[in-house]
Amino acid sequence: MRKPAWLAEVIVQSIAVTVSILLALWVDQWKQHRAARELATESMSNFATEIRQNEARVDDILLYHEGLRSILQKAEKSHSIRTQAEFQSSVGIDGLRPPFLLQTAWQTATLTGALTHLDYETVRALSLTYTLQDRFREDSRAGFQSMMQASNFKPGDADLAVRSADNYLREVVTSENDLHATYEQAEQVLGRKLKEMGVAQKADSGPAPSPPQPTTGQ
Amino acid sequence: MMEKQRVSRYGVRAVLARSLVHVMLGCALMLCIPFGHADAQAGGSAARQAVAIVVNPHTAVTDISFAELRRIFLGQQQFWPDRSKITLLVRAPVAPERAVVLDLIYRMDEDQFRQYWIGKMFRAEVAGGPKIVYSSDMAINLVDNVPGSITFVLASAVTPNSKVLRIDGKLPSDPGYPLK
Repeated sequence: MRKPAWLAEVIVQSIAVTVSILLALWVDQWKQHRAARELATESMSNFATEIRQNEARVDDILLYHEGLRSILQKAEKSHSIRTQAEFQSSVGIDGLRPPFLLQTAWQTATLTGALTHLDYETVRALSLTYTLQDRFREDSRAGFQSMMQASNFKPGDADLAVRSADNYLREVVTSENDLHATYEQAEQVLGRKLKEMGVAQKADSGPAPSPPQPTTGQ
Repeated sequence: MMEKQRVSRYGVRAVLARSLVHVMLGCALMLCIPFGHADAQAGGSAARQAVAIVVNPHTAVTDISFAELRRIFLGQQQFWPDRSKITLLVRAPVAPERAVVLDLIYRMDEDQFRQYWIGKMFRAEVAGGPKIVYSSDMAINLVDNVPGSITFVLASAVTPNSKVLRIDGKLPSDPGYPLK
């Protein structure tokens, strides 16, 4: 017995509709996947740039803080700083502040949901990096306020302030070294992931060492 | 009656004449003030002391060109030829040597200087601005303790242990030194 022609047409149409729906869903899913991948790549590049910038900022101030510590240690031994004015003139106050570190990439990734598209290892490394950075900022702020207490400066005697500043800077320098090491680890993770994703890292991201310039008469 | 009017008219004229003389004296004084100020400025710059460029004693450089010095102070060159990082130490505002450096090296006023470094930081061309020092002693002490650092002090504040750079082959005591 022959099947009616309409039945064949219904079956063919149904299959066509189903296939087109599946195809549309697949295309939509592919587009979403691509958008998520682009967001993840963009986010990772931003993280890599920001971490490199923060590392450069820490490196930039680390030697300066170590130099200030040397001055403080000498002053502590020689008792050469006796007043707040002498403290300001010998060590300064602004120079004792920690570096200003960025966290816009982390905030942007949190707000845009980009973190959900990153793999566990990357998010863990980034979370650790920014947590340490936060702790460094909080500790430095507290240490700075404690160091600048007026009670550290007694008339004709700033030994306590000098010792306090030295202790504070010791903590800051240690934390800056820790941060530097953490940034390096995070950069390695990000570099590996970006390589796996086939993304070349931006060459113009952050202050990179410039080639040596010719110098006369050395 | 006529005599009284003449005396009164004479009195008015005398008052007017005196007033005119006072106004003229006032104008002359006002005109003189800028000239006097300019003279004072000229005297100030004539008496301006040479500014010495001091670097960390371990820095391998002893002589640089003025153009290279400008590049370093403008943050366009951030590394010494041996790849060590240059740390720029700059005196806080009001110091006379800062005024000389802003004038001759940066060719900027305080506002332009501030904007310049903010712009560089914003564009991520530098990791940080110059580090501020608050006295010549602090500048000399820090430059001795921070590897790769460079600063400027009045030539009279240079200590025997300081490493002073020659600029275009000239020391602060030489004639034709560019930072005078």
